[in-house]
Amino acid sequence: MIADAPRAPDRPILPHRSYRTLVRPRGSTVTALICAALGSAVVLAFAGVIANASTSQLARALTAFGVPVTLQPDRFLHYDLQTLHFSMPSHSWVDLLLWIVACALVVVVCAIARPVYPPLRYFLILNALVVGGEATYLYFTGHLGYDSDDFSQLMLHTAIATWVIVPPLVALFAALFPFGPLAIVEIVVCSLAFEIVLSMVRYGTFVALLSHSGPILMSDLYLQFGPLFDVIPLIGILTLFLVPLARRMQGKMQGWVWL
Amino acid sequence: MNTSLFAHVLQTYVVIVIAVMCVYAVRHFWFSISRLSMTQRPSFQDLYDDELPAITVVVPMHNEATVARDALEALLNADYPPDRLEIIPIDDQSRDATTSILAEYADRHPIVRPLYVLRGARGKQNSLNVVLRIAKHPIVLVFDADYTPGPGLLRELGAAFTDPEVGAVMGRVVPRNTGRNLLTRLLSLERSGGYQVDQQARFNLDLLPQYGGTVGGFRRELVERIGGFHEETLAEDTDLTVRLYAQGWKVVYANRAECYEEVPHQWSVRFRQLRRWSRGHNRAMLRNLSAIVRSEHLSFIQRLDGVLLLLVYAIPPLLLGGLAANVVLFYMGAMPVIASILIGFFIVGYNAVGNFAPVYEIGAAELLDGGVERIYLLPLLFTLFLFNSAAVSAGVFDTIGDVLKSRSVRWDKTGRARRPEAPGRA
Repeated sequence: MIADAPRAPDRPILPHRSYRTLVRPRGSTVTALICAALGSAVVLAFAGVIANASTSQLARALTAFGVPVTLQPDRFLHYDLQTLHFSMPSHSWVDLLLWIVACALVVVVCAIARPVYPPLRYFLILNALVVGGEATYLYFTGHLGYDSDDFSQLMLHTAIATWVIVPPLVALFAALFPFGPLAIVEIVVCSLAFEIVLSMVRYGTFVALLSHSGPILMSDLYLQFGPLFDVIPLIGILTLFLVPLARRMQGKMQGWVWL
Repeated sequence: MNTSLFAHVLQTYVVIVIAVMCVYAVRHFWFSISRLSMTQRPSFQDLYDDELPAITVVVPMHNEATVARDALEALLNADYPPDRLEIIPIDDQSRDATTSILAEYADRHPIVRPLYVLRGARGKQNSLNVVLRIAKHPIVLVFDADYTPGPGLLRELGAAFTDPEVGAVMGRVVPRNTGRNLLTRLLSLERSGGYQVDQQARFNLDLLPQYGGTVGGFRRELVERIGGFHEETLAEDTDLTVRLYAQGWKVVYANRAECYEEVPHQWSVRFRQLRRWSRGHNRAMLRNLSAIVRSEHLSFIQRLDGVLLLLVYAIPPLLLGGLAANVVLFYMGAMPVIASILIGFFIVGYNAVGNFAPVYEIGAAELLDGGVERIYLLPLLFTLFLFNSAAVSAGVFDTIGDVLKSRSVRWDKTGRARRPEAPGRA
């Protein structure tokens, strides 16, 4: 019988973080969608202009620093681009053998002597494997699949593709959190601006490095350091906006939906 | 095989990896939305009932003298009717003072009934099988020895079993030594994403939240009925979860049932822990994948979630393979640009093995948990990727070796870092 049912203690159910959810500011999702679409549209419209202006400046800067580069025409998607043409010193078989031995030594020392903490150790091992693998490939085949012009094209094409991807990706992530419409616009603009500047600086830096080192570092620079410099700062930009938001919401009952 | 065909094979592999990663990315994005913005499904913790189930609390211990007293004191102070509570600390062939500490508590508290395992194979699963035979009560809750449950935790977990369809319950594990060093801080972020968002979202969406082997429990009779715990497993939790789901039972996730644990603060300890989890989880995957796929008790979405859950520890090596394939394609000059970008994004963006959480999910969890400065560490989660992938891949190779050589597994306890308490405290 209901009358005999046990009574719950006279204790309130306190609000707890376990089941609270966010109050999303009005218009933030729509803003995120607009930012994603608009950002990509702007990139698609002006990527060629931005890329060409940047490569012209890069060419001047590199020449000023003693790296001889020229501009050469290229076509990607619907853009008429100019890529940096540069030359790389080739490696003798002795150089390649030395690289192979050096990389093997790094792997062995890291694996056995463990001189540094694991994340850095594994990162060193991975880089040594990639460079050593490339040296071995060069040793046996005599050439890489990409020469300096191909690499230059690859860098520029990757940069443009990344510019197109970044606005929707960042807007999507930002839309998860209760950022206001203005903050979402700021995050997308900051991320895209950062990505454009970074891509071109990286492009110039890699060209300068390879024109001195030869192709041995090509795959490592492109595959390891490329994504690293892209994604980590992008996450960093998001956290720069997320931390103040978290601080504002900390300890407040408002801004949350409580169970 | 000619060069072109080889390149096509590698390109196909890279595309498959990217497709799998996209599935996980969408899954976790959906989890984040569910946890941050959709209606939450609470557990049973606020259910007050005089008929709380009688429970047996099990604490497996092997050389746990540094933490045994804290664990037992916490359990004895629990807000649970003593006549419905039994505590079985398992002394699994300890060589330190654990045995004498348990004897001391057994003398003073009748509800503490230690189990001394003197010989035979060590390991949690073996001890639990013995407990199944000697436990007095129908519900078994399990805690690791370094956990200190709060007073209300047993009630919060035990209340779930008032629902007769519930086969197991899982609480939330929160690191207590977060501030010790960078590793513990990063693991705290990882745990936060795994429980606050991942587990709760799966519970919200009626998918498959997982019983995690500690800070949780199960119906003793059910486990007996399915033949107890496999002695050849290092992941009895995954094994039990999947077997329960396959037979139509529910697993409840109680997000508010928080319990504090010590996470490894040494990279070597964490490596061994992950390697063991990977080995055990992958064995459980091989054993149970077909049962989940074929289960008539689960919907298509639940089966899909079960498969993705079981494959979690196979993904890091798959992703590393994608990276390796991309490197070789680069050497050959046959690397697709978009593939290289996406692989890069996934490698840097995914790092928390276990729930395999992407960085946005962990950010969401920190926001919900009230974290502020810790959010600045999100970019550093990248450092875990290679480390986690190496440890998990080692576990995958162990699994392959186990299967090929039919070798038995050996339990490897996670090292404790807590210092012994002052003498005389009890």
